[in-house]
Amino acid sequence: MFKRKQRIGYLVLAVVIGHLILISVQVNVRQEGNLLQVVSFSVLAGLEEIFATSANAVGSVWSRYVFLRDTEEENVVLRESVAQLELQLQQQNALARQALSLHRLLELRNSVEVSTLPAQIIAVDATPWFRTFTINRGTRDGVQADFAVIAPNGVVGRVVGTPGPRAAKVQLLIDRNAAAGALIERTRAAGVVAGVDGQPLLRMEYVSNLEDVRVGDSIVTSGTDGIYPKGFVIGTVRDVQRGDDLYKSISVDPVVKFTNLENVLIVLDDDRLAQLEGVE
Amino acid sequence: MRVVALLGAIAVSVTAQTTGARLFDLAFTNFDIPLVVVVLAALSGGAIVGLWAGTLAGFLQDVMSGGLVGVSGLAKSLVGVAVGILAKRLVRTGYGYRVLLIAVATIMNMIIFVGVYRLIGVFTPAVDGVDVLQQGILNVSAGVLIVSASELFPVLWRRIRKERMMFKSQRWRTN
Repeated sequence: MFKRKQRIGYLVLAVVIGHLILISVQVNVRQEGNLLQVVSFSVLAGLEEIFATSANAVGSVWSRYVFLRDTEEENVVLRESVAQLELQLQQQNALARQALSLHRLLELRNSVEVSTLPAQIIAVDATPWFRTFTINRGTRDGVQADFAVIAPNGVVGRVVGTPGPRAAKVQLLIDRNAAAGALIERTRAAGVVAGVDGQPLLRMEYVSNLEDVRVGDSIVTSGTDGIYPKGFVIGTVRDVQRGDDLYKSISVDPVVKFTNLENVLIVLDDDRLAQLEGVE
Repeated sequence: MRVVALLGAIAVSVTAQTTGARLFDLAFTNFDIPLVVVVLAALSGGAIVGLWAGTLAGFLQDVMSGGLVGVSGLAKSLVGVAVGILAKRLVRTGYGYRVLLIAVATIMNMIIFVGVYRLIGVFTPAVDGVDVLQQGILNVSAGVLIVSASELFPVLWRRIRKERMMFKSQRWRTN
């Protein structure tokens, strides 16, 4: 019916319009993922897990049994390091005991106790523009959207989109679309920590020019966003300048080294899980 | 059979993109293997194959990333069509030609991707010349590797089969 050139033209037009409709729908409302998205994500995540597991196995054999150059020197350095760490541990234990007694003295409730689920990172974002990870835990493990994800030393990010049965997408705190309610630990000044486009850094916004903020100050979660539990470390202040408007311009170094992460902990929101179970 | 091979190649390219970067400690590295597969598919199959390959590769890439679903699909489907049309008008063989097309496709893909995000106003990705050059070089390298492997594999396979046949016939003669 149509000539070949015309057919290609109509086809391209249809595909472009289809894509534009798909994009427009999401721009107005970031809706839950549809079935096709969830199925595609789950299938590819499964493939990624197989790839990651086999490559890890090969890498492990290589590094453990074949590539043993410099192991002896490394051993010496590690022994020295262990000795130093043991010393530090003793000091930290002393400090912890002191903190615990102060804590009891003030009769503060221990708010850091949360139930967590360990997860392995199996893939990174498919484009260089966004900062997301795929983890090997999904709805079968009780993971839901907006669950906080942490590492032993600090905050990593949150679960975004609709998780698959065995996989979920985690938006890192350094993604330019990510944000978290935060406090400067020393002064308790509140603000919002957000990602910086194209850089592994964070910026803290909405901290008044009148507040006392110093380089090296620790930034922790405030718990006001309803996603991240209160008191988890986000990072330290790298640079602080007086802003042109009402707020300071604060640059923050995240405490988590995102490029070296292999395993994370998902903070299970017990109240939400109980609600979901009740609905079902 | 060719459709299945193409679907497999696209799925593997997206998986390689997401897991490969992590395995080699190049998290968030600036390269685009699915784009290379789309260009190679369009070169061998034409504009329509390029269009569908681009749509699927882009969709899967969007699903596995934190962005809006459809932006990569739109960029890659247009790149697939453009490469398919160019492939029909120009001579089709030679590394230089493929390298040039992968480089052009990288720039075109970036312009459409960034352009759509800027038009929507959701966010404006920061891109500079270094990013474009880096991705161009990495994509071209990936393209050369894929083409070399795809051309070398059938030759090696034929040679192995030939040697096996010779070995079998020799054994038959000695018996």
